[in-house]
Amino acid sequence: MGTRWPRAVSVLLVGAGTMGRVHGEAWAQMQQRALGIRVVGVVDPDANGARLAADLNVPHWVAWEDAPLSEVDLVDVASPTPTHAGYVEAAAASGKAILCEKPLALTVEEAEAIASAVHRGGVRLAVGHVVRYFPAYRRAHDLVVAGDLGAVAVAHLYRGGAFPRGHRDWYQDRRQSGGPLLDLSLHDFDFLLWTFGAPASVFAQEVDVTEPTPLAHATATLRFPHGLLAQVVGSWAGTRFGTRLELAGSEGLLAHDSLRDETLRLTRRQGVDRPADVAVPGADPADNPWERQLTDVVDRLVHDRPFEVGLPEALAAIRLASEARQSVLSGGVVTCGGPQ
Amino acid sequence: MSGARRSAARLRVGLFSAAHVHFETYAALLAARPDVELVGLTDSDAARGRAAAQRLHLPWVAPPETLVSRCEAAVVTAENVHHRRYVELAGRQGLAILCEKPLATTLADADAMLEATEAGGGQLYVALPVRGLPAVARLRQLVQSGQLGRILAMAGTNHGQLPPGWFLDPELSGGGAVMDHVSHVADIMRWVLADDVVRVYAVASNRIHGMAVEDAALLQLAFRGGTVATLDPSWSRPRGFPTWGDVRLDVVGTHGVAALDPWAEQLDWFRSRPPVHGLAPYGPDMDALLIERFVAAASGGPVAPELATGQDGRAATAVTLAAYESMRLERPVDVASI
Repeated sequence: MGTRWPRAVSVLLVGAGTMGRVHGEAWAQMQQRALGIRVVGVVDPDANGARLAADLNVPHWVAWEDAPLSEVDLVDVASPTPTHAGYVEAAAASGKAILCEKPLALTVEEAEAIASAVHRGGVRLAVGHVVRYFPAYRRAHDLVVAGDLGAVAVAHLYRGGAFPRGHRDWYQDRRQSGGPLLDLSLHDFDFLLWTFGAPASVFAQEVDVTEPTPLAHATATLRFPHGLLAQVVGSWAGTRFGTRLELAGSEGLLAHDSLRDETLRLTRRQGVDRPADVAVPGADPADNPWERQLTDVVDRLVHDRPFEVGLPEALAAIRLASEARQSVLSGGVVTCGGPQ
Repeated sequence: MSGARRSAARLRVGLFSAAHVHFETYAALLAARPDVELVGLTDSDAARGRAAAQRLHLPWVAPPETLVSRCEAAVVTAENVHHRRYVELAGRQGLAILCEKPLATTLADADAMLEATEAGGGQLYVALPVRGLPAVARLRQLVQSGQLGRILAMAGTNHGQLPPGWFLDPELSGGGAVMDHVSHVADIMRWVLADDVVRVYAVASNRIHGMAVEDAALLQLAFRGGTVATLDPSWSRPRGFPTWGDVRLDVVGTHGVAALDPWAEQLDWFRSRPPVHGLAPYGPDMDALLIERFVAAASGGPVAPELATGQDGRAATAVTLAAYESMRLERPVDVASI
């Protein structure tokens, strides 16, 4: 395969945690396949950055200021959620195009501040709602849009696994992670917005415990103006990571279970080596959703076409997750799209 | 005389209405039992009842009062709104009654049925057979013994295909998928947790089939002890679905998770002639277990805890009615307010 783009695209990776590694390895794959990608290096304040940088055979900088921004076309922010705003705003001020891992921000206010910074910098921003690049979800979306299910009446979207153990347990702090509604269900809110448009209302419940171990489980029920009812469940109280999708319509029923629809199932023997810290769904390396996402982002950047998920889509998903959280706190039904 | 003695030892059971699809199931299970004598069938729809009596070789007894006077036990498989008339009649005469679910379509009806049965010294049970399955008993044991820790959340479904006839007529059914299906899952959730639902939020539509009653619905429940739950009772399985539907219950505890699929015991069965793909179930028959336990209780034997009582039926009905109230008000409602 030859160079895909007219000239090489240089990427600076920010964050060397779980998602930083997933992105870094996907960029390296693309570089290896001579697609015209060059990874400039990795920025991460932690020693993890040196490990990932060594694995990718690129430099590591502890401080953002030390990275050679003049060489960079695209800044890929894959750091923990609370640090997104700082890096995105710095990249925007430097005039760089940005891909930011989801969720873009922890609150609607923070997302709007990021949007202002991006507009001020006159740069482009893509957000990593990678589920749109998972073939099962893409196929389900396409079948709905083509009308093959008729009028969809009930949608179930489940996403869950073990409680994630990030750097210094940042997932445990709701102010840093946003909890399962923002961190997990954001993907499913985005799928619903993408496939069915904006909902009319949301009602949600959530249970959080810290003893004997941190766990969180959230359920949201959404009503859409055209009549669709949707149940979104985000769980950090499961065991093995898995996602499920079920769409019931007037013309048929569509069901997906990531744990059932695996072409290859790997189970590591416990106690021999450490499992991954944050669950990332298994993917075919020859058709990796992250690589699809990164390729699409670069394609659209180079050809100056709108991103699949840009600021409006990211803002809408965060707004919906935030409305679901408001419902948890108030115990009542929240009208979507109202004042925050 | 030995014949008379044998006859006296058999439980005299009357069948009240052939309206429900379970009528024939229960009739066949009862007819096959040596300890049961099927006394006859009555039905508010005489044509339907006579035809069913003829088909199953049962005596047709037009006045329900006459049938009650000849029986020790009553099985009520009428349209939902007609449960009350038969249960009150049989209850006042002290019969042991098995009433098809939902017990009632209003709490006033449910309370009248409970009062009549109590006044007559009878027993009232509700056909909520899912709790009687061995897998549900094992789940209950896991939860009650604390092996799953504190229960944070549950997710239940009782999906089905579009039912026929009077199920779609709200005057006779009292409602659609919510009335038909919420009882089963609400009952096993209550049974497994040994806790009660205090709050219900529900949304519904008739978007799948466009009938007069709802076919799609989603519920969120809150239990007294803090467990939250979701429930999908929709008639959302298309004609191509390999079975009638499902009952599923996922339980999330602090110490583990459990997934209940009581009909998982089915062989995939592929054939060279249509139907080319089917299933060959090899698990226990919940209706047979229900009838077995009902006959034992009605015959003066022990009352199995797996037999849902009139009070259990009332509690499931209260959750169902809270769902309708929530749909009407478009907000969560307290079950106690129903």
